[in-house]
Amino acid sequence: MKYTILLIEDNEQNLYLETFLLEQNGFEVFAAKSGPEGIALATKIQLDLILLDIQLPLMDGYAVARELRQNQALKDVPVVAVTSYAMVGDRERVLEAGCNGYIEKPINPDTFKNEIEKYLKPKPVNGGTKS
Amino acid sequence: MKRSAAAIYRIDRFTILLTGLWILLSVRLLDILLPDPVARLRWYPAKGWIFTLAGLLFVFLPASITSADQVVRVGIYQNSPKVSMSASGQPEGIFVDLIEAIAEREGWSLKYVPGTWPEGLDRLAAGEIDLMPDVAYTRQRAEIYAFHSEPVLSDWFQIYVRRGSGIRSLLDLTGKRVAVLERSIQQAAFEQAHIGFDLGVKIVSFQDYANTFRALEQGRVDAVICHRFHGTRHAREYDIEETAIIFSPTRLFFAAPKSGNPAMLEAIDKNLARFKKDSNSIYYRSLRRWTSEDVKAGISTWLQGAGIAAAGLLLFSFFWGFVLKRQIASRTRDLALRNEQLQAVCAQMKHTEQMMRESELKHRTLFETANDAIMLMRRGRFVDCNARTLTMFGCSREQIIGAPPYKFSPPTQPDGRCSEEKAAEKINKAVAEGPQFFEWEHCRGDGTPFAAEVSLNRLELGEEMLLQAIVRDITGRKRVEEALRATQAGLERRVVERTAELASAKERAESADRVKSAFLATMSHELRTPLNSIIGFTGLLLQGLAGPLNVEQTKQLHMVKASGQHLLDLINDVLDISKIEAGQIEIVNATFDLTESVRKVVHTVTPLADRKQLPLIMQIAPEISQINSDRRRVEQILLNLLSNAIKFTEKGKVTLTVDIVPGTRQIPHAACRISVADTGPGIKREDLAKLFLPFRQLDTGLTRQHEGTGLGLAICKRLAERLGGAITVESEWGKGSTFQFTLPIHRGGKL
Repeated sequence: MKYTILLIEDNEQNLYLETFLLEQNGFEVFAAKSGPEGIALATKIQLDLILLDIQLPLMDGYAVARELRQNQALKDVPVVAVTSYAMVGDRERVLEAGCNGYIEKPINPDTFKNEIEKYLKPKPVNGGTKS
Repeated sequence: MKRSAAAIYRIDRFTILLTGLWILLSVRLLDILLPDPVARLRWYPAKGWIFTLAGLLFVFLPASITSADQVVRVGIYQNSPKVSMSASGQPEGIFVDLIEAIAEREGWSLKYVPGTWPEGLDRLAAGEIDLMPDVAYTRQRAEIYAFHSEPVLSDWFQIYVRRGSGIRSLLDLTGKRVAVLERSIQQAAFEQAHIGFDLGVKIVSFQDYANTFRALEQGRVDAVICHRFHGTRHAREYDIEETAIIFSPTRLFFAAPKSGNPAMLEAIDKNLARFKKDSNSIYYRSLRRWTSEDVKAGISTWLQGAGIAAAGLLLFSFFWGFVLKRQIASRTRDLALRNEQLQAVCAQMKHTEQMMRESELKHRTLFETANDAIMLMRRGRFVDCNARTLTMFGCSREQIIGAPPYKFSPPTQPDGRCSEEKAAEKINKAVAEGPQFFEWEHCRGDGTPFAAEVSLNRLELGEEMLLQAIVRDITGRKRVEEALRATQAGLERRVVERTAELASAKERAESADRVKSAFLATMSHELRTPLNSIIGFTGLLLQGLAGPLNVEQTKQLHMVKASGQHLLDLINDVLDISKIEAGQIEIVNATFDLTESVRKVVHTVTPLADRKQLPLIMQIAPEISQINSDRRRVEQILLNLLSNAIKFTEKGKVTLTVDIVPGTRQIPHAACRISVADTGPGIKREDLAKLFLPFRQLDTGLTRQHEGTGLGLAICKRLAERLGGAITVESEWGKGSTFQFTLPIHRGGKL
């Protein structure tokens, strides 16, 4: 059974890149282009991980993370920020908002899979491998 | 002129004796010749007197008979009335009377040796005379002459001047010619009297007093110093007058040669004492005689001549006048004593007056030469002022005297109060409460105001109440104070301005910093977003996830990836250097094994060296072990230096040496030195200074041959400094470079 990942990313190219990369690595990917859209999707689907951009329209990643953490049904789903915010303190801010991890953009396609796998709970059957 | 008084006495006494005997015989003869008892009875009273006379004569007779032959030589000089030679050549005067009376009692034979005063002193010193009359006792003289102890007379010196000369006080004698008796004590006494005043008096010596008075009258001298006896008796013979200047009370004695007979001086004392006890003695008679003016020197001669007749007459009235005479004598003695007391009081008063005059002069001088204006006020108006007042106020004395203080003040004081009212208030306060001290604005005669410090003191002169005002011109002080105040105010203003400027500059800097940080953050974010796609898709393609690639496609995609990576490095380096310069970089010190770190970094760069077939030589000193620093940053620097060395070296080798150096001026404690030496192109001397500036990758050719952001060394240098170390470089163009990274073993020198 595949891992299901929700990708909240507003940039068209990056959304495509990450979706492609994750799907190629055997993940089931749902995509949302804004925070509210992502939160709405998350409540409907059984998710294993949420990858969250920080700079988003309407509602920024921090607010999204806080809301996800307050949602009783979603609070156990790991959230990893994938962001271009790479200044001093950005990592801390992200973690403070409730994220479980922080990956700095640009991502390294060679190591990206390994990085996100740290946040996935083991699946009983055949999880997270190439189909 | 020689004369023996004792001889005369003997002759006179003998004559009287013979006369008495003759009278007795005559009376007896009358008794015999006058058988009539009535006639005889009429003679009886006369007979009683005659017998009394005879008895008296017998009383005196033994003295004459017992007189011995001791000759006493006495100096005589002209100093009437104390001692002098009369016009008829007879010695006379108080001292002569006394010595003759003493000589008669002691049986001395007197021999007078006339001369001047100085001659007499010389003779006395030489032992040519036995006694010198009228010598004032001084300590100096007592060393040369012998003195008896009972003073003959008390005397003092007084100054006589020409009538109308205007000389009134000691100070009036300034520059005058003053006559003194040669070798008298006057000169020394006079100098003593004007001690402290440089009068510049010219002293003229004379042999006797008569000459001094004559010289004074004729204008050859301006003043004469004379003792009171001579002055009182003789001054009115000349057109001169006495002054109130008296000084130096003295006691007068007979002086004898030092080698003389002490018994003689004792005899003089003994007799003087006896004379002084008896108001009718020769001592008082002589004084009375010589201190009243009109007594003629010739009287004694006449008296001697008419001796016998006078004796008879005296005896005739003896019983009548006996009681009366005693009373007169007693009264006279009283008067003489009273006179002496009065003279002493008078002298004391004159002396006091003189002292007061001198004291007044001193105070006047203080008053007049003071640098403050000193004024006296009576009932709110000036009555006196010193010279400084006139210059300070620029007014004449006439303008000041009689005027009230507010006349010399502007209408109002700096506090806005009316000067007249305020002055009256201060004056009343000084009178009622005591001294007042305050600042006051005065104005000068021409109306210019000036700041003054005034002190008001109440003075009570007798029953009169005066107010002393001391005014000090403090214009200069005020000006300085004003200037100081202005300077201080200026300084304070500048401090405030400067503080505001600094605060504003700080605000601007902080604001600029915030803007810069915001810019960097935005730039970083905005560049990373497209870079994410570039690097990401390149990676996907190279991984073959989008399908197989041919060799050329793979090569080109590698170039895209490298460019993307370079851009990312650039962004990271810019952020790094910004963080370092803004002090935002976090240094995490910990103890770690430097050897291990070095090996790790070498391991990382070894593939690069291997690719260029460059030997990478590592020499680590055995004592290198644990250091305390920020491991990540140390490794970053080391990686940068080694990468650079390998990157720029085409042939030869890269040598890494780690050892320990003792403390230097920049790094005071022992430090690790990491040297990276290469055999690359080297750096030109003129480029060395630019080496550590940002974006200064030094190129050997027209195009950049080597990748890198140009920020590496700038970052390394700044990082090394943050770690308390330093990076230096030595290089020779064409031969290679050596970078040395020195790092404290323990941060802060702690072990």
